[in-house]
Amino acid sequence: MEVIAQQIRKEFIRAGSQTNIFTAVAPCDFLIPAGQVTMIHGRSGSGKSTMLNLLAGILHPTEGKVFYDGADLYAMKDEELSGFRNRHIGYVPQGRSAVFSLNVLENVMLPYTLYEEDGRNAARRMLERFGIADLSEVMPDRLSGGELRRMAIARALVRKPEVIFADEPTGDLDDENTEAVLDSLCQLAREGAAVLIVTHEEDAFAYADRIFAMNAGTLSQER
Amino acid sequence: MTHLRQLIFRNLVKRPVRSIALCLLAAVLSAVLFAGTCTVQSLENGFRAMEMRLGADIMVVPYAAISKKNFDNAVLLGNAGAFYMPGEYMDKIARMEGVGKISSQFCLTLTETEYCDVPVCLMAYDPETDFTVKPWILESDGEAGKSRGVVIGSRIDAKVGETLSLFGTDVTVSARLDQSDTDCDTTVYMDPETLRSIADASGDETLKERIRGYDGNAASSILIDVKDGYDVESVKNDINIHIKKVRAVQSQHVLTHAASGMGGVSRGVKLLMAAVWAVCVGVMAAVLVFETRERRREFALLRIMGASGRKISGIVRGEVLSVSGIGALTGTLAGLILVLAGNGWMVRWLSLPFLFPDAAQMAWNVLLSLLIPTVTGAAAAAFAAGRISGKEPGTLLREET
Repeated sequence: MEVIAQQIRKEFIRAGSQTNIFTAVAPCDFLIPAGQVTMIHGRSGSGKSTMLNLLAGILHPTEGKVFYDGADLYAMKDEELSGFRNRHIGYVPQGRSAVFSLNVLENVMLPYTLYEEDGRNAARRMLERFGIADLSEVMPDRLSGGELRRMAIARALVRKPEVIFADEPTGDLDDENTEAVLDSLCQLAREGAAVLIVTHEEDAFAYADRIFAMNAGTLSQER
Repeated sequence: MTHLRQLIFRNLVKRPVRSIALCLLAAVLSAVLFAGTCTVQSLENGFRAMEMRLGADIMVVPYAAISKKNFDNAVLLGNAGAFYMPGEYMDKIARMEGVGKISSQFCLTLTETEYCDVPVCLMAYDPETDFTVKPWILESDGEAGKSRGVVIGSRIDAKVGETLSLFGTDVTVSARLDQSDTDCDTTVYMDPETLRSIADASGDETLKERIRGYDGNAASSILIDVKDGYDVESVKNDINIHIKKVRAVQSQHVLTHAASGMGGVSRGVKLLMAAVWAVCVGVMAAVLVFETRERRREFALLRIMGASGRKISGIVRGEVLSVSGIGALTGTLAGLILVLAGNGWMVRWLSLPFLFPDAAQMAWNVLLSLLIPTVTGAAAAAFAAGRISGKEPGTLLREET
């Protein structure tokens, strides 16, 4: 599945002021091709995460459109868009991301559970793939930052999505786990997924097919 | 875990303080609504019953009765106690202008029995002239008013045809009265001859002395039905002016006082219910809004994974409905226990007739006290969920960071 953004722009109104508008993402066209790893890097506050969210269908652009194999993402109603996200998009958010009332296995199963499907076996396979199968019954508040991150990645990939977004996926990981995660994402790209990673770690660039820099909301291609 | 409802359950277990707090709020609301509604209905039922049962327009009692006991309440509860006036007063009153039907009653004593949990009044009435007891007979073997055939109030634990032993004398229950929640419910009415044999057989000198007084035509109360076309108040005033050491009271006057007392209590209870409901709505909404703000990241994650705004609302509503439902059930049970246990205390405290709601009213009250807290919880949840489910996941994530 290929993602195409056409002239997307995002503006925010600063809290407490109706007139102080700032542009988080300047108008741009963007493509996430299937079978490739695309990376965006940039400083904090440069608009990387906002760009990622616009492309992932979780934040409406102020202007512009996002197409998934020709389907206009933001023309969909909430129910349809949510279902689309569930089936086609894997998203690894920045920071700690867990439902703390569920154990690790249940967290990874959640994309299935939300639609009343049994994802137990798929979730177990993902936990094995990321080396946390022995933690399946553990509650998330007992996990280290790295384990939590691997759980979040396992959850994002459990439905074998065709498009994967990862916001600083290696932020809390040691070298060994960083390599394992990036290898997994590359493997998924080789299997045909479109992968977009937002990172500020230059070591990760070695895994990218295409690299973009984000600076004050403006996107430019470096590779 | 393959069902969303399991997620709801886990969320409740994971946040015990919130769950218990919401549950308690719903329970308090439910208990107050149930107990309050039952109280108001009991007062209204009691008042209606009393209105029907006060068959006499005027009740005359010895003046001594009012120095010992609140007179209106004595009349309301159907018993002015063991105070007596000369029997010839009845003849004097009967000859007065406007007096129609007239009948006297004589209370021998209040006594502990195995048939009732409160002292029972042994009362002689005149079956020939009576117009206030017979109309309320619920079931009868046709022997009521005859020798050894007694009429019992509804709280006395015996059936028609059974035998009661009173001070060693056996009497047969010939009739049973409808419930009134006045002292009539704990009274055994009998003909003078039966009362006399009980007093004689008791060996109790006080009772014997009282019955001797009765033989001299003493009465505890005289009940009067005013003739059509005569003003009840004028007849009452005539009695108070012309008959010494008695007090005549107009039933309607007593009812007006009782209605005013009942109205005040009812209004107070209704106000309390409204206040508790308002506080519960406010606190529930505040707790839920605060809590959903705290859980923005969790909801954002669920949205990212594909949960629609409607699903998020469903999760919040499911959580709140579960706890408020459990709370409502607990509160209703607590309310029921409170009402059953406090029934006697309420009668004593209010000194007003208090007739418990019937099964249909009770079922309706249970339904309401289950529904209102649950619906209140659902409304508060919908308010909180609306604030969170209407936001895009990207916005929630942004607010979080």
